Amino acid sequence: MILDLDVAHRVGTFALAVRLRVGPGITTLMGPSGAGKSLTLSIVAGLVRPQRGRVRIGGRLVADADAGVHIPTQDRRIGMAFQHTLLLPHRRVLDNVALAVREGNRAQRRRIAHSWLEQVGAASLAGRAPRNLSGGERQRVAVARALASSPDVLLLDEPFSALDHPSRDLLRRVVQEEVARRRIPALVVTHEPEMAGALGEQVVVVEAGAVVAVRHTTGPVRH
Amino acid sequence: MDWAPLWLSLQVSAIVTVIVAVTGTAGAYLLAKGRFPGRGVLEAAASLPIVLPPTVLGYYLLVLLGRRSVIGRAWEAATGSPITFTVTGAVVAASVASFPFCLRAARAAIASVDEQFEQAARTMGLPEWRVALTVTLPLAARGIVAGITLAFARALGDFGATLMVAGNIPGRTQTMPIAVYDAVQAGDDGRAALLAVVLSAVAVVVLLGVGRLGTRDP
Repeated sequence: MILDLDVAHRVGTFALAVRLRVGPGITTLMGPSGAGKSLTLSIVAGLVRPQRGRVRIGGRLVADADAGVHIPTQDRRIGMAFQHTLLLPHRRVLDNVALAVREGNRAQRRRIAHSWLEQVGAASLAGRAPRNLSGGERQRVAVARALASSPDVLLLDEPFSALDHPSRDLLRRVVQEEVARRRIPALVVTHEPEMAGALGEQVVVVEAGAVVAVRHTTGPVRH
Repeated sequence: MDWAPLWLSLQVSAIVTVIVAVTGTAGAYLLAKGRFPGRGVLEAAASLPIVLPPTVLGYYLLVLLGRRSVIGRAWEAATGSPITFTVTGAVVAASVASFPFCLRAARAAIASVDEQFEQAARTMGLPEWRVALTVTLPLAARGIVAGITLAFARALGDFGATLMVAGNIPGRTQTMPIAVYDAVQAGDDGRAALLAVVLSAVAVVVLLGVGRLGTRDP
C-alpha cells in the first residue's frame, strides 16, 4: 500500500503545499506547531477537501480537486488518532474502540476491541468513561481505536505526547508491529526529534506549509 | 366530577409528544445539517405557529383540513371519519402548535455539538446515518429533551387552536383548558378552580420528572 499526496490548500494567510510519496512503514512528520502537519493528516483523512491536487491511497484516487473527486472519510479506510484524542464522551472506552472495528458481529467487534485495549495496556479501562481517564490513558485508547479499524492508512497526530517513557516505548512498538505486519503506510505527527528517529525509516520535516527536508534514519529501533 | 377532559388532555398530549419528538428532531437535524435551497424559508414557516395567534393557526387548519378541503375529504374517504371536530383534529392542532418548540430547541442543540466528534466518528468508518444516531443526537440529547418537554407543555395547554379545529364537545373533544373555560362560562367556579389546579399539578409533576431526567446526563 502506498500513499501518494500532492496537494495545495490555503486557510486565510496560511498556505500548505505538500508533495509526498509514502510507502509501507512509518513516516514521521516533524516541524513546529502551525507548520501544517495536522492539516496534512486531515486532507488525507478527507476531513478537509484540498483546494488543489490529488490524494491516492494504494492506487485508489480518493481526492482530486480538479476532477471534483472527494471520497467521504468513512469510505477511505483510514485509522486516525487525534491530538486531542476525541474519544466519544458519552460512550465507554470499550465502545469507543468497538465502534471502529469494521468486521464481525457485535460480540466479535467487542472481542477485537478488547484485544487492542490489552495490547496498548488499557484493558483495565474498558468499562470507564473517557472523562475519567488521564491524558495518557486517553492516548492509549485513541491509538487502540485507530488500529482497531484495520486501516489502509494509519494517521496519528502527536499520539504519545502525554505518555510516560515506558508507555511510549510500548505504544511505539505496538504501532510499529502492526504497520509492519499489515504493510501499510503510517503518517505520525510529532515535534520531538528523538521520537521521530525511533519511530520509522523516513522523517519528513514540514515548515510553514512546505516539506523542507526528507531524511532517512537508520531504521526504527527494534526490540 | 367528570374527569374525561383530564384523560383526553393527557392522551392527546402524549400522542402529540411522540409525533412532535420524532418529526421535530428529524426536522431539526435536517435544518442543522442539510444544505438545500429554501432552508431559511422552511424554518421560518415551521416557526409561524409560535407567533400566530392560536385562533388564526386554528382557522388555517380548519380551512386546510375541513370536510370540504382536499385533505379533509381524502382523510374521511380513507378512515371513515373527518379530521375536524374529532380527537384527530385535536391531535393535529396541538401537534402543529407545539412542533416549532421542539424543532427550535433541538436544532440549536444539534448545531452546538462539537463537529470534531462527528469527524472522529467518520474516521472510524461510521456511515453518516450512524454518525447522526450514535454521536450527534446523543450529544444533543439534553437540548432535544428540553425541546420535547416544551412541546409537551404547549400541547397540554393548547386552547385556541384545539377549540377552532376540534371544537368543544364534552366527552369527545373537550380538553382540560377548554373545560376550564366552559366551567367559567357556566358560572361553575368550583369546577373551574378544581380543573385549573389539577391541570397545573399534572404539568408541574411532568416538568419535574423530565428535569430530573436531564440532570442525570453526563
